[in-house]
Amino acid sequence: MSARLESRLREILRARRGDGAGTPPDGGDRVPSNGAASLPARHPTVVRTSPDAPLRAAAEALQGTVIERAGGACLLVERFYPADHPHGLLRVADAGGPALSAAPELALLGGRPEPDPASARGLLFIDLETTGLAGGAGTYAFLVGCAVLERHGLRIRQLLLPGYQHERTLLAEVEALVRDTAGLVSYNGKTFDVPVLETRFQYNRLCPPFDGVGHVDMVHPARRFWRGAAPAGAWPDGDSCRLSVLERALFGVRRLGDVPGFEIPARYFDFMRSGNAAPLEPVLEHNRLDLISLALLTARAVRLLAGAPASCESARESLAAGRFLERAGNVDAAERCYRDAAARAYVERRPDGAQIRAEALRALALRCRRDRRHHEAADAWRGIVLDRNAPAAIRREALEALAIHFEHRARDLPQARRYAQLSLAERVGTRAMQQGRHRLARLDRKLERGRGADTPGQPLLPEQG
Amino acid sequence: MSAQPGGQEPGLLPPPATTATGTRSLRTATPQARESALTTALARFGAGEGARPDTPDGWVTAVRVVPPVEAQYAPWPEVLDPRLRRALEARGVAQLYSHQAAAASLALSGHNVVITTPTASGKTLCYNAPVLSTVLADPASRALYLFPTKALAQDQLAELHELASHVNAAAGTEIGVFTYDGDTPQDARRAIRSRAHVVLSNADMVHAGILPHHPKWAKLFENLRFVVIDELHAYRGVFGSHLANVLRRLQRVCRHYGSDPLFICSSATIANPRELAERLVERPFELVSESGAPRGEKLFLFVNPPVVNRELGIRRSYLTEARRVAGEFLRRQLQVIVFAQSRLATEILTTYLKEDFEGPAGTPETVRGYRGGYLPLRRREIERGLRSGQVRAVVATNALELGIDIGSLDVAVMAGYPGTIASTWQRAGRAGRREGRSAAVLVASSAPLDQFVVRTPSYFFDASPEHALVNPDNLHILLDHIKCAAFELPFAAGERFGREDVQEILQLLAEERFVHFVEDAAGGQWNWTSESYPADAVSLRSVSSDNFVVIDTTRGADVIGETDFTSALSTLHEKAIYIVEGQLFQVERLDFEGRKAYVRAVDCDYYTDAITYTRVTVLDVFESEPVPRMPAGAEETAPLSATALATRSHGDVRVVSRVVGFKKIRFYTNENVGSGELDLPEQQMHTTAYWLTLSRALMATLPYGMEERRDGVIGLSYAMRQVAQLLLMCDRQDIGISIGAGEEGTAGAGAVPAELDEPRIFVYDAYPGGIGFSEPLFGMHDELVARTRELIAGCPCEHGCPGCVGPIGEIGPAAKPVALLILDRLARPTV
Repeated sequence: MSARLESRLREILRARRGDGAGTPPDGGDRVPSNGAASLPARHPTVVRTSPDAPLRAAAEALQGTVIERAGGACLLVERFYPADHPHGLLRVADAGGPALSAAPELALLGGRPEPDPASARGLLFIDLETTGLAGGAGTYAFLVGCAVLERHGLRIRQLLLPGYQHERTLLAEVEALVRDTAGLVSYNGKTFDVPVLETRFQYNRLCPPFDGVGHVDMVHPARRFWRGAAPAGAWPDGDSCRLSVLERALFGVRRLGDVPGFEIPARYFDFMRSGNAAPLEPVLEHNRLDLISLALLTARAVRLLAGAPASCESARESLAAGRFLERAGNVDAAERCYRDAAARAYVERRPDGAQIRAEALRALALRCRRDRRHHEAADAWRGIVLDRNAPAAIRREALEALAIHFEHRARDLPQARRYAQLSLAERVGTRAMQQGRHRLARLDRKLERGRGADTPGQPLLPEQG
Repeated sequence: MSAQPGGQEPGLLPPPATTATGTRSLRTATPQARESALTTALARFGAGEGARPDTPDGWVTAVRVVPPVEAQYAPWPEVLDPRLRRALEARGVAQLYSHQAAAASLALSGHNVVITTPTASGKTLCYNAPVLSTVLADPASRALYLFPTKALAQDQLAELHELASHVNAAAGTEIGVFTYDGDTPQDARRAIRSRAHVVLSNADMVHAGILPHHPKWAKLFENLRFVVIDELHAYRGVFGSHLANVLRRLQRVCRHYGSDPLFICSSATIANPRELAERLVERPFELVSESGAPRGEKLFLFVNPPVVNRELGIRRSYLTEARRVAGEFLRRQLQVIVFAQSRLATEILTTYLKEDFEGPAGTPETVRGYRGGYLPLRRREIERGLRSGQVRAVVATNALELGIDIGSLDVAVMAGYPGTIASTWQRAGRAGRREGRSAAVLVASSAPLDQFVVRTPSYFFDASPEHALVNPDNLHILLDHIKCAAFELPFAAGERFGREDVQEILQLLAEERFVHFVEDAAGGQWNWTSESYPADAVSLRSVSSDNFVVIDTTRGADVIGETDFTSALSTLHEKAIYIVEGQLFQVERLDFEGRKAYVRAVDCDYYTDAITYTRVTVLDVFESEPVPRMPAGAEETAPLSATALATRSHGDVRVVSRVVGFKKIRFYTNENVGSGELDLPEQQMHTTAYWLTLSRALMATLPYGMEERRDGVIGLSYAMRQVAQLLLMCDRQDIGISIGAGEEGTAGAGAVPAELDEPRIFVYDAYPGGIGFSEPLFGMHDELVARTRELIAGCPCEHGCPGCVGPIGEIGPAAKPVALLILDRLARPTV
């Protein structure tokens, strides 16, 4: 390359870095200089020794074994965590062992397709580490972490990609694991991990093995159960439902020297350049801790649902359990959960208490109305109206429901008028205002007529709601 | 498309008489009435029977009749699937035009084809026929269509979808046709990926949405038989240079999946359609250029607005003249499309015509504006109005030049020369029916290019159209796409990217840690080792990917338009007037960091025009040569520097520009009614330029004073810019001009140095890295000088005017003679 061309190219690359148009390539600058993690690799170092040698070295560094298959190789790192292994304030035994796979509550957590509870094989907890978050052909899953609950503990198998050219071998191993499972459990895996793996299979022109395999993505139940479980503002990115945040809030896990997520791809790229696998050890450890937390989180959700509301420890948990149970058709347990949630929220005095209480009462009111227990429904609606801090939208809904209730069911027109008036005062939008005025006008007419000649027997059109 | 009577695709039998009612009644009642209305209107231009020679008064400078053409049919190609033929026959296509048959046969026998036929000649069947035929023969086959805009893809979808459903109904097949672009809902994407036989998309989507996710599209890439590129001529300059690289990536991915698609391209008439196709796709092409479609007679008029002040060389405003011309047709119930040169001119003309032809507020809008930056819903509404006849006149920028279906109109009026022969014909083609006459009128502005064209009609009517230039190897662009390609698939050791050997570039990217080389048995590969998604950082429309949104804060905060980064500073600076469909807004605040401009509706009688200063610095000279060339022998006797009157060069330059202020210009009169200063950041770029250095010796021979010489050089550069634009087939904003005294050049009113000892005139590519204008311009130096001389010498003004060396008042009266004298010296060796 001519010196001029080279200097032009360098100038363009420099400018790109400066204007922020391109992301810094692999965050090389962000890797802290704790020894091996930031090997200077200005020039590609081509290892010319036997191709096996670096693989063996890496296996040794990570205490794993080399699997050779389909013309390539991958590293398998296997760890067994016995039942009494501590994880924060809990122990691995708290995950419930192989019985968790057969828990009927798993189906309530929203796995579609559902895991097969009759399967003799256990659940497969799965978590990837990737070379980026963007997806697409250039995002590789370099570490596939899998965990299985056994009688005496938790077995974790991690498959590490020694280089892109070995991907088919890694995928063959993944396929074997996925085929041999009752179902997958992941944290955000429906949105991220499985699509990334699917892309990797397709990239290698292999058929992805995920069709028809049960999959519970714990991120959705976790948001229901534990959003706000961690103190607000404690997490700079505002996402209080990251797994690492939850494990700390729920299980008291404190990770020491954990590698931050954004640093992980850079460590892998460094490994690709240098062949030195030692800096990957913290990445593997990070992945293992995620898997243990995932298993415990799943077990906790299952236990909550099995014993709700008694098993619940917060209003939000009760509310969430109620919703899951109601969706599954267990309406009695659901109703108990809503009542429990409303009561707890009142006592807990947490910042989101009013919101949770209103949501629980609303769910309760709708539940009662569906069973035509209109007076109980009205009680629940009134509970919302009496709470000064209830969210405006739910309050409006309650006022309107009460106006309807007193007009058509309780036939208490002055009360109906009072709620209609309150409701009108809080309405937003011209259409809603108009409807409100109509109701008020109609009630006034009825009241007027009522003063002249009482017309109780007059058939009233049932209203929507 | 064929559901609309006006948009009836040629190649189909005439629609049954019953369709001539309904929406059509809104159009002029009968062809006869339209014909006579057109004749009457044309008579007002002194055009008489249409065959009159050029009128002597200089007002209508040319009347040409493009004669009607009879249809040329050809037998059905044997290779075409009989089921497709039956479906077409059932839809009323009795036979194919010759160009349709030729294109289909070539494509079906394994050739890449580029088709250049006029607007509305049934070119879509040229590619739809071979594609559908192939899918019928092998239902696994796939095709990918690329359109320059999403709107065009939507338009073509309707037509192709209808044809495909006919085929499906008749042949019992399930040919799926879908668009896939930024507007496609997320939840539908998976289904489209598996079910679409034909995917209609655009280059941007292929670049950022499809190629980086090629594993998800494995089925498409494994079975890709055809890539169709519609409106090929739209891919020139920056966009074309990007597309060439996107196609390199596409073909790379196809190789990975074991497919080898053919390319079918359609293009407007340009000088080098085949060369352009071969440059973009880097494969050999067959050209089909003879249209077999019938065409009604078309009259083409050139109108030069009359001179109102001979002393100053000022002509009547071309916008006023275009308003009058369009009015002649509009008031006779003819449907008219008016093309304006800029968004601003579009808005001004829309305002004028609304004033002339629209009733009070509340009555239906029969005059509409149409330009890029309008939101899609508004555009669709206008297109529908044009097809139904409800909209009688539309004032558009080149946004309507491409094949959006608006039916065919009676008259096209071009306010200002569109800049290239190709796009002038394209715009003229917007008016025209298969039978009956239509007209196209070009109203020249006072810009030199326009003046040159209307005064030299043979240049337009008899010369070949321009060349479309692209530079796929622009380093900025190439580098971006190599990153994208490396993300998609690792580069193998020794692998080429198109014609390029990219190993050295990969080596540099490895140093920057974007890629990493791994040796293996097959020689090794470059693996992508970055978290980024490189396609997101690359916009195909520009060398940087920014744009600004315009937010109306009059009531709430509505986004009413958008503008690309390069023009944002000159159109969205504070106090600028921003116009949408005649409605005026003033920019209250420009949030440069957030890329937003906040505007508020105002009522005023002026618009604004930004003043920009530019400075050019030479970084590297690629080639340099004295001009005119010395006669043999002269070089030996005298040292180069002593004999060279001037030097032509091309090379790398740095351009720094800054918007320093703006002028307020009153509508209608174009008076300058005020100005303002602005403090905006500088913009810098590294690009390529051609430049002409006038020697001290040459300047010394001019019998004029210092100031007059300076005026002459400024006037010369003014004229040269126009001619360069003409020769390069580029838009006005594609090149910049600058004048300098030493190593540096500057431009902008008042920015030219007072003393020009050894002046240089720079013509630079207005894009970082250059898009390939400078070297061709260096090669065309002699023609550039000769044409510039022709332009200035042929201008009837006395002391210079906007049509040659620039408006008097901004330059002195000596500019014209001095510029001519310089050109004389440059044209003839003085030995």
